[in-house]
Amino acid sequence: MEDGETFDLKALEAIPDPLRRRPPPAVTPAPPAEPSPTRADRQRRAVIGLAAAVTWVVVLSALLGLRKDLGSPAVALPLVAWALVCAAGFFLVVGPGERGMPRAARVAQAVVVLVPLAFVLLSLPALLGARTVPFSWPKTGRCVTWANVIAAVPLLCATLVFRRALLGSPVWRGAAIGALCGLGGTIGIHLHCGMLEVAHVFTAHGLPMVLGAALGAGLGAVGGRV
Amino acid sequence: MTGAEATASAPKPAEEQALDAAMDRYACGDSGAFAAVHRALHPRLFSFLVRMTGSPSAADDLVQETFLRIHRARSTFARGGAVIPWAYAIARNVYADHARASRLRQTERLPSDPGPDAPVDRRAADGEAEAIAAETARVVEGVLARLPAAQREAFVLLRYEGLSVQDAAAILGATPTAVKLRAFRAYEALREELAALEGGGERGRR
Repeated sequence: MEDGETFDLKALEAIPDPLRRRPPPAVTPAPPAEPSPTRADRQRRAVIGLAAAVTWVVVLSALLGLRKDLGSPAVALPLVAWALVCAAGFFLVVGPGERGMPRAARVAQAVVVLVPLAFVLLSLPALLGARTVPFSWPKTGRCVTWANVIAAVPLLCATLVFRRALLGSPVWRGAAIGALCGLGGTIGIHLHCGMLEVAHVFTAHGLPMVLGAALGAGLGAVGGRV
Repeated sequence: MTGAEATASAPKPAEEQALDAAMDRYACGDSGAFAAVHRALHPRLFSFLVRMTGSPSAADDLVQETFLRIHRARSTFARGGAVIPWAYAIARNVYADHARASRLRQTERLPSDPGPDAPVDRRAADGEAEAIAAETARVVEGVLARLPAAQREAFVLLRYEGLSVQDAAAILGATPTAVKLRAFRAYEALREELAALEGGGERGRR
């Protein structure tokens, strides 16, 4: 045995077992009396949560007023791509991996990094070709507020759906879920705000993902783990 | 029994398939399936928790908490998933919470004790063999207790619980390479102590 990587696991058999397995108890207890959701209940809850989150994002963005250039490919394509990133991210972070176990923590870590990166990369083409506009603190402050209000309901829904449902790495999974909910806020504000100033878009439209990741990590640590 | 490095495509034993099916039914709301799940998992989870805590009485409490969490989280069991690594992961979380709470309370760890229902090894007919076996068991338990939790977990899951490297990695949230490395470090520590014990024993007999 040279090192851990080339270690032959059969060598473990040389270590004796000081403990015998206890035989099964004579009487098998009944299941705990407290009610617990079944798989169907959870799926129903997830569908309701998803519907509520998407409806909130779309309706609030429409109430704020949709941007005039929404039909242009430079705006529409990134929005569609972010929605796909959102769906794929959730599948990777909370969907079952091999043998039904959650995927490795590094998958959640990658999602935390890739979500804001996807936002930056996909928004650049429209921004780089745009006319230079001065940065405006009042407009940015307004967008920051509304972007986080839009992201709040998806994050609330996710908190209710994934409470005590994360088997491993609850902090990283929570951060990834929070970032994805933040991306929902980003999509919502981007449906409304047509400002093409780089600092404005990256801070005001991008902040929900950062805040979402931080909040999600905290919520995951406190109440996410099975 | 050591866990083999099973490939993902290896067929599951019939017992394991039946257990997974029982857990699947329990996840869908069939309370009658709980008995089969409990009967199959209780000895395994209990022995795992005894090895981690060093105390059968603490393990009794923790295994009850584990089944309570299994009940609460049954809806999260993936359709067609494997219940053994899933249940071990929950037991591990229960142990981690217990260890954290113990550190906060600064309670003393109870001395390890095989318990009144541990079967006596009747093959060791003479007193010397039994004394050697008991001493060996104490040394192994002592070394395991002193190991970092990450190494202890990896070693226990692979060596004593008979899980595959892939399952152990999924339970511990680590890569298979990291799990092997941790088990290797634990093995080296144990081997060193056992070699010293054997050396001391031989000198005593001369």
